[in-house]
Amino acid sequence: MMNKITKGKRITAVILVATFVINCSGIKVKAEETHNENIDPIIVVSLGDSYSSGEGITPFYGQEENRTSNPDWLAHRSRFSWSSQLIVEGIEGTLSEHRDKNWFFVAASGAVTDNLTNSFEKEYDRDGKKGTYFLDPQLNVFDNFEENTVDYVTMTFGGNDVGFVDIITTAVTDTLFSVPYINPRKLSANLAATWEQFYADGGIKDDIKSAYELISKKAGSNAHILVAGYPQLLEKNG
Amino acid sequence: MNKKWQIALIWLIGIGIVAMIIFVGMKSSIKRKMVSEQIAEAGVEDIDVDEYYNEKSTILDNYSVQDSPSIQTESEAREDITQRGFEQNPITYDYDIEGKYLGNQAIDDSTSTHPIYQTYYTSSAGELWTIISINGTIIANPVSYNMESEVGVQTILSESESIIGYDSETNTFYNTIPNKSELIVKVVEKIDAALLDPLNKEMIPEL
Repeated sequence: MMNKITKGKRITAVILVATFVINCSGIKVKAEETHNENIDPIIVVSLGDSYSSGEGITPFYGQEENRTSNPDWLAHRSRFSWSSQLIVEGIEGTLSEHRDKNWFFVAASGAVTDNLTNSFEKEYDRDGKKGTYFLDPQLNVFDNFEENTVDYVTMTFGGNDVGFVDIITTAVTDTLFSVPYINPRKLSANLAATWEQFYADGGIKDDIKSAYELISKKAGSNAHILVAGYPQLLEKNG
Repeated sequence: MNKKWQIALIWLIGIGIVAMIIFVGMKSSIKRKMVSEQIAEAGVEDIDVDEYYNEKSTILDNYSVQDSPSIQTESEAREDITQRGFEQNPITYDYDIEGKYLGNQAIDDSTSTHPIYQTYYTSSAGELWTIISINGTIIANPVSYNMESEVGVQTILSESESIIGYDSETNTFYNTIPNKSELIVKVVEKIDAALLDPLNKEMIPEL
């Protein structure tokens, strides 16, 4: 059952891994020349939202522990997230084999760029217990390292800022539930509103740009920042 | 400061203000262009609604939303919709009275008015219906029936042959008789839960 559910996601992960390896081929020499694992371990930090956390791909880290207080479970950080499957020059095996040694995984399902610097409020309702847990701001992870020791940062960010859940919901409900005849411009109005928010002064585009700048500053000058793209959610013609 | 310098300063400030206005105008125009390009890139056609209804219907009349005497407040829309037995789900709207798209918002019984309201109804026959109130007239869209139908044209229930269409760009209502090739309208006396509840997929085309 699990294999069936994760198959599609794994394909995505493989594509991303392939892209990563290709992208890294140019810096492979540098990694070998400058890294001595004993004195300067390779450090990879994985930030981001649900595409980075691996939402929907079980098992999640921490799912066998107390789910109401385990940040990995609450953030839905998957053991098969694409970043966990990366192979980085200088580290043996996939990153998942080196969690909290070489690989620091703080992506969280549902995160927006604001959660880089502010806590992410996660509500839980599990086994009769309801409450709120505050996931640490994602940039706090860099406080664990000395300056300029981070080698790679992986991430996806911006999807939740744009509101892709709402976009998908609207696309589906508009297609199935609406009567296009009575409001033929509704879809274009929705898209226009989204893009206007994106390009507005202080809007989503500015938020994402600021987020990249913040990450770059916190990660330090040695870090290579890898931003994965989102898959195309819908075909243009439905 | 002598008069000559004062005049020069006033000119300078004037030129600065004009330059600022031109700059803001250009920036706004560039943004509008970028938004249009992104919408075009998404493959969504920016429809000329007047042309659309001219092609797909007989237009009986068109008028500004804000001039319509039939436009309902949120509380009037709630009363009308719930009195018909459609109480299961929230009533929502997407536009303000000036035609600005706001995204899906739940009504809160205020005196605010909106061109279109919408809710859903699930009947005991298993049909999912979208209930739409536009300028005070009600139509019902059988979602599951239309999904499975092989007719290729959407079917709706209405209390009159004429169907009101909406153009948010010009904030205009179009009173139309749709061409049968575009929309199949089943005219019924009153759209309410009592009518919709027993209707199944075999009964809808027979109305």
